[in-house]
This record gives sequence, structure tokens and C-alpha cells, in this order.
Amino acid sequence: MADILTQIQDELDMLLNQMQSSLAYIHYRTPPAPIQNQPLLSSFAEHEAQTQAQQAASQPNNAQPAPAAPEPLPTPEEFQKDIRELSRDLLLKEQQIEVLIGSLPGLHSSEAEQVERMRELEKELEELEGERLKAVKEKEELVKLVEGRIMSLGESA
Amino acid sequence: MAQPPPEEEEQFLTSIFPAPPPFYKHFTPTNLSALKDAQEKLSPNTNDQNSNKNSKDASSSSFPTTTLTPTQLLDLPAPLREQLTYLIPPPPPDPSVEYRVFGKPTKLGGDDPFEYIMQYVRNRLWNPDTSQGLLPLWEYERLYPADPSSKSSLSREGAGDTQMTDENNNNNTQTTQQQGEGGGGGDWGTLDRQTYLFRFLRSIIIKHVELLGILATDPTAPAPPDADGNGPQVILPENPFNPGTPLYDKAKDKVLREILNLVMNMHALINEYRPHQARETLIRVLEGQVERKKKEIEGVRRMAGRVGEALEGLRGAAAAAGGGEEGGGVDGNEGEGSSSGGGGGVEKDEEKIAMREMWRALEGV
Repeated sequence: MADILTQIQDELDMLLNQMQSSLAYIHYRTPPAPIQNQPLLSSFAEHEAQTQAQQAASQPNNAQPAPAAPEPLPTPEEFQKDIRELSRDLLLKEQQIEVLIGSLPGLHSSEAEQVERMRELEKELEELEGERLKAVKEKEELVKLVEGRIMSLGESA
Repeated sequence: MAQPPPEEEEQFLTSIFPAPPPFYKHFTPTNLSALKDAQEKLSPNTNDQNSNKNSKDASSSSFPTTTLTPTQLLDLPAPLREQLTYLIPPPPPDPSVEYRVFGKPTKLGGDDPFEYIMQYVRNRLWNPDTSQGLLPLWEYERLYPADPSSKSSLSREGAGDTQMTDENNNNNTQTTQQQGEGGGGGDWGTLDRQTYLFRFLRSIIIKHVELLGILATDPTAPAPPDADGNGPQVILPENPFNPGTPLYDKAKDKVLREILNLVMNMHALINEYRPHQARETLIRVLEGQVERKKKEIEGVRRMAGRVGEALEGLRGAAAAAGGGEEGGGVDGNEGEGSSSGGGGGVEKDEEKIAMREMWRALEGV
């Protein structure tokens, strides 16, 4: 796992990406609002797809396949649902970043305190190393003792 | 002469990384000893010269890590000089002198490229020469104090404050707007980075909502007058889409600039936090090591105790078994062992148990 700082920065970029994509979604996918007492016309993208499909139909020998018709625009209900989902995701991401910021380590210690703590730990480590060496020596002596016992047992048997 | 190029080519093809500099071949034992000789030969000379002028200089030049100066090197006979040239590292450049790395001017101390990066971002967003781009007029503006004092009591206070805003933020964004912008007017110097990060983050969300509002109502609306009452800034004297009128700053651009500035501030804050985290990580590692060593020592001690016990048991059993036949055969001190002599099968079993015990202990060792 990357460290928290990098994670925050990545998530921050992700947040901006989400903002952009939600704006783009609204920009491109909003269903047209029907105007009262006016005939409902197809959108530009639909119109283009239709004309191209007609062209392709009128020229059956054309090797180039007709481009796929654009995805139909969502209904107003779907669109509302999608927008809700997008905004929930956006806030969720924001909350995630807040959690990450909240779990930043060592916020309550200044640099001097940190250096102090490091010195302490270093000293403790050195002491422990000496103790460890002593313990290892003791262990080796014991092993020697045991070996001696086994040898003497073997002799005696 | 024809031989080396193919060899190099082969190396180039077989290795991902570039070949080491060719002078590593000069670090042979003979060359190194020759260097030592030359240094020893030359050091007394310099000592003699310097001792006439200054004894302190002489003592410093007799320091074991003395290297040959270029002039000394030039005084050496040609073959030796050739041999030794690559063994002496060049002196590091002066901290104030610029040198080039990958074609980029660099200084020994390294300089903060932040300003350059901001300038670069700015020029990417808006080209001042052609007056074209996505977002004009953006300038990086620092929104947090230059050197925030991170006193523990104060930062704790800040943490409590952010927790409160946390709860509000869960409820709705409107509250965070008040919190985020209300907090902006607080005492800057006494709050820690975490609080600033929270503030910036929430402000970004608010600005996003603001941007949505602007785009929904009128994307081309001119920027509202600022605090001083100045109207929107003129970006271009001639609007390319509407000749005859100047191109004004737009409200959406203003919000976008603010979002960008907030994000840049967050990134800068996080990057400033990195040395702190590095120290913190080091402390964690050290703590882990202390913990591990303590455990190891404890393990060794426990093992020693078990071996000792097993030995005691064995000694007792062995002495008991061998007590009748061969008095001092097993070990030297059997004062307590021989006293429990006598008896047959029970002691034999005990001996076996003791042996098993000891082997188990030995396996642990």
C-alpha cells in the first residue's frame, strides 16, 4: 500500500476526475426538455445517426459499415437517478479523503519531538542489542553445557 | 581497435541498465596500493612544506583521507598519473555553482521547483503570447501560513474542531459551506495542516457546487465584482467571437481558478508534510525493531530456562541411575544426585523422560 500522503494525492486527483466526468455527463446526457405545444424533434446526434443510417442503406455496396447509433438518452427519471448517484459518489470520495487526512500519523508531534523520540529509540535499541548479545552468549554456554552432558552420557552408557 | 565496439554493443543489448563507467576497471589492487604509496610519498612532502608555514595545516593534511590534489597528480610520472587519475574522485561542486543534469541546470543543494511548476501550469492554461488557452489569469496563491507552528496543544484543538465539522458535513453540504468559509476567517497561525487540508477539501466541494450553479444558469456570465468593487477583469481588448467588445473574465473561470488554487494548495501542503511522515515512518520502524529485539531476548531467556530445567532434571535422573555403578562418571557435582540412589525401573523411565525433555529443548535452541 502506498503511504497515506500519496494516497490522498491520488484520491484528490480522482475527486477532480469525478467532478469533471459528472459535469461532462450532465453536459452530454441531459434529456431534452419538451416545450409545451411544440413538436418533439430528435436531437442532433440522433439526427446525424439517422441520416448516416439512411445513407448506408441507399448505398449497399459501401464497404464502410454504418456507425452505431448513439446510445439513447436517459429518460428524465433515469437522469435524475444517475445525477444522484454521481453526487453521492462525489461526496463519498470526499469523505474517503477526509478519513485519510484524519488518519495522518504523528500530527501532534513537532519535528524536535520526533527527533527526540528517534534518539530515545536509537539508544534503547543499542541497549537491547547489548542485552541480546549477552543472552545469546548465555544460550551458547548452555548449549555447550548440554553437549558436554550428552557426551558424558554417551561415555557412561 | 575493432574489438571493443561489438563488445559494447553486446553489453548494450543484453543489459537494461547502462554499463558502468569504464574507469571502474582501474580499481585493481595494484592500482590501489600504488595510490596509497603515492599518497604516502606525497603527504610527507606537503607536511614538510606546510610545517614551515603553519603546523595546523600540516596536521590536517596528514589526515588519513587526504587525497591528491590535481597539482600533485600532475607532478607524478606519466604512467603512474594515468594509472591513478580515475581513482581520485573529483571534488563536489560548490553549493552556489550551477551544473547540468540531463540538460537541466541544477545546484548541489537542489532548489525548489515549485515556482517553476506553477509557472508551467499557468502557461499551459493560458498562453500569454498567443492569448489562447483554457483558463486565463490563474495565479498560484498560498492559502496557508508559510511556516505553521505545530504545537501539540493547538493541533489537538484543531482536531476537535474538524471532528465537529465532520458531523455537519455528513448531514448536508450547506453546513460545510458555512463551516469551511467561516473557518477561513479564524486564526491562521494557530491551526495545523490537517485542519487546512479539511478546509481546502470542503471548499473544493463547495466550489464545485457553485460551478454547477453558474453553468446551469448562465455559463457566459461575467465574473462578479470582487471585494473592492472592481468589475470583471478584461482579458483581451477584442473578443474573438464578438468583435468590438472586450473579452471579460467569466464567473465560471473565476470558480475554476479557485478550485485549481485549492487543489494546488492541498498538493503543496501534502508534499510539505512528507519529511514529517518520513520521520514518523522511521520512528515506527525503530519501535518495531525494539519490539522485535525484546521478544528475541525474551525467547532466548525462556529457552535458556528450559534447557537449564531439562539439565537439572537430567542431572538428577542420571545421577540417580548411575549413582550405584559409577559415582563421578556423569558429572562433577552430584551432591544431591547420589543421595537419591537405589531403585531400578522407575528411575530408568525418569531418565528417558529427562532425555526427551532435553532433546526437545535442544531442538528449540
